[in-house]
Amino acid sequence: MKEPLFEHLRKGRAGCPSDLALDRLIANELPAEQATRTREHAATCAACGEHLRLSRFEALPEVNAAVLLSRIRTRAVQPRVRWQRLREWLYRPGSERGTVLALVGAACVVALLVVGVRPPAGPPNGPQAGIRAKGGPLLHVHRLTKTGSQEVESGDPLAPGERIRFVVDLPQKGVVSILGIEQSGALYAAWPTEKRATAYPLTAGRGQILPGAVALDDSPGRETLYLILCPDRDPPHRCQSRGAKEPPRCQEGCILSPFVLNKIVGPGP
Amino acid sequence: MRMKRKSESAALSGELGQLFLTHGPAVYRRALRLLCNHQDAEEATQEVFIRVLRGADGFAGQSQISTWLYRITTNYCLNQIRDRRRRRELFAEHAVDAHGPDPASPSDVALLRRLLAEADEEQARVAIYIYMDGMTHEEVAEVLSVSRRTVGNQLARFHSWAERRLGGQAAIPHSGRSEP
Repeated sequence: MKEPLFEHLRKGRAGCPSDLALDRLIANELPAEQATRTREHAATCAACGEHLRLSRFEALPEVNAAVLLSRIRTRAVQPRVRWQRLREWLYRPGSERGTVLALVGAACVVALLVVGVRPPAGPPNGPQAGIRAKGGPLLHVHRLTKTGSQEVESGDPLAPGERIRFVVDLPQKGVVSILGIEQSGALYAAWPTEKRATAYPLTAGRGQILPGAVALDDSPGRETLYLILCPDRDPPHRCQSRGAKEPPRCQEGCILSPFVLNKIVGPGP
Repeated sequence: MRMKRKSESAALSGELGQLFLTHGPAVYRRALRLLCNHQDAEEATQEVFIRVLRGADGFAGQSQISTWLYRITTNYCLNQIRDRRRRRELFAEHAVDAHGPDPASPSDVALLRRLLAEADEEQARVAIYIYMDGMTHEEVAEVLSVSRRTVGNQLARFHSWAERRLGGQAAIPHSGRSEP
């Protein structure tokens, strides 16, 4: 096996400035003396000269800079959902994050000891009955692409006919199914799709892939999927629709977690 | 070009175009090297500048804007690499190693990327800056706001871990570049 020589990952001689130095030169961020030195080096170094040449969008024909900038402006003004803000905060470098996370973790441990862990099991007839509370089951939807897959968020645009797969996080074992509610309020089985199966027993755990891919139908519009986790072996197909804007009513003890499919017609996202 | 303070973030929207033209290509090219996919690199570029616009990383004008962008881009791409590894495991699919623009050593880039997906997060960042970006320890220390010694220690730990991970089949030379 050939030995990996990571020092060869960048083209150029050992004395070349770093990519950061070259990018700072472009941005006029280097002190004058260092800028002169770097510029003089790049003038005689093919690799560094190439780096500078490729530091303009004109040299990157695969990128439509105007479209990219437009998307940035559009998305930047969209309100972020709470979990996106939390994820950005968690992945933000900073020493205070560790302290805060440690305090949150300690508080959670105390809460568990005092309160105990019970799944939310509200009355199935209530308007928010059995809807996922914090720490409940979570449905992830992945769009299948040519090179793999891409997770989509609830409400993200999808094209009719796209194929998707489901991944679930379960706080407890149970039987799982996914029901969908069309805009008309009609209830349908989104998963499992096999004729004989109406639910699928799973253990507790995160990132559990539900077998099989599902193809979206060709009707545009918004539909809500509900991951349904029921604690017993009775299949949850006894759920009943309460209209397009309400979660279905299922038997007592089942927990529902919604996910919005936004099927659009036209150029994909 | 120094960034305005967070309290003046409202003015950023007017500067976004110039910021994007100046730094966008660098962000995109770095993301392409790390993610090896044009679509993912574009998505990464979008996300980086959205975070810039929103000031999500609390930039307070204490570093160069390039430094700030390098940090955001590295953090985002590293998370994608780790998430992608998880997705690849989940769906038992092999990602196509579509290479970035003319890498010096394609197989080593792929190997480093696989290591980055598994390595300690702090060590992975240092490895990216040293091996992908060719930074000196001084530059890495500035980007990460840590000491040079910390950079050296993190790099040494990454080496040790990577050699164990590779089963001792390959020796990974230390990179001890000083200022050119």
